[in-house]
Amino acid sequence: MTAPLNRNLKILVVDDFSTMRRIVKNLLNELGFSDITEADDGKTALPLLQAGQFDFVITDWNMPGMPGIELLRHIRADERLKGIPVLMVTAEAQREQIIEAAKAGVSGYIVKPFTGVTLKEKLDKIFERYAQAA
Amino acid sequence: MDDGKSSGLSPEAEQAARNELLGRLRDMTQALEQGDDLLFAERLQDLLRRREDSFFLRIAQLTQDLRAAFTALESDSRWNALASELPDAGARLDHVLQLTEKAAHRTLDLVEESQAELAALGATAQNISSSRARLHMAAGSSPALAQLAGDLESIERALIATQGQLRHRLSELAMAQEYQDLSGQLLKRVTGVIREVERELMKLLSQRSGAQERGAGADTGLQGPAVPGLEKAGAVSGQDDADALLAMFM
Repeated sequence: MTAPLNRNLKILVVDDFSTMRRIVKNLLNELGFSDITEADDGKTALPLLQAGQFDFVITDWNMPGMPGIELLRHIRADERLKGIPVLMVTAEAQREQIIEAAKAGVSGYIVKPFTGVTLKEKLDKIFERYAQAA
Repeated sequence: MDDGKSSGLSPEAEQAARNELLGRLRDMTQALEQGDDLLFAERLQDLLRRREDSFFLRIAQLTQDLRAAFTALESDSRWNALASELPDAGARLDHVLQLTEKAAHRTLDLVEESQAELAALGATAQNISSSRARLHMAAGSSPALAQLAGDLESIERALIATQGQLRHRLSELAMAQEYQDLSGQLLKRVTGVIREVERELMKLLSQRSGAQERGAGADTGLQGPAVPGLEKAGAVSGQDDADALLAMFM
């Protein structure tokens, strides 16, 4: 049983590849989400997060400027942002990297290449967990 | 370190050196047995000095070899040709990256346009639906009109089913553009290596020494996308494996 998705969520998609941002955005649209903002690395994402009421972050790991893992650490260290679920979607498949992300407080981890089904599954799971915690 | 090849000595010379060493050791043993500590210490010093001398000789030889290798490198025009071809190779790969990016965006444009048209088609199907409902009501006792309403309903169902399939396929088509992100990351990695090699080669050719600065290709510690045949130890084998690992920390 999955909790019903709240389609009004404000989502930030962070990836240095514009094609990937569009793909994730397209998938999210298909899932019924329309309030989506894009950022091309952690450095541009962080001020957006601090300024806006974002409910969810989907981020790549390997980006110039500020990588996703650092963005995650900043989010978790920020009193106002630390509660936002962060889903990492990355080509980095090293076990030590996944452990590092888990220790930094990642909410979900998707290894590229991935499918729309995987994204939906992870979103459901994260929302379910947050709904239970709330 | 002390194998015959690198010492460059003939077997006869090596045997002579060994005999000499044996003689010295015998002298030293004798000195020790006779309690002549001073002589022993002197002999030991001699022996150590000889080791040091041969060590420095070897270093000098290596330096000379290295200098000769550098000179040979400089005079070999192939290296210069290679150094000038590397920027081209990097630029070509950059171009490939741009081409794939452009193609992926073009495909995504078309996908998004098609998705919008498909949504409009869905609205049309809704119109048919309400028309059919009205027809059904107006049909009254007319079997011909009722039949028509029934026909319209099956057309409507087929339309909605096709719309669903097309939506799914368009979504898959967008998803398939993921190759651009993965191949792009790999291309960036390779161009990074090429530029690093180019920089080092230029340094070597111009014989400049000094502090080595790390280039843009400096290691971030990240491995990047998996490449068949080049799998790194320590990588998860797929999403399930990643999920299992993550679950241990949640």
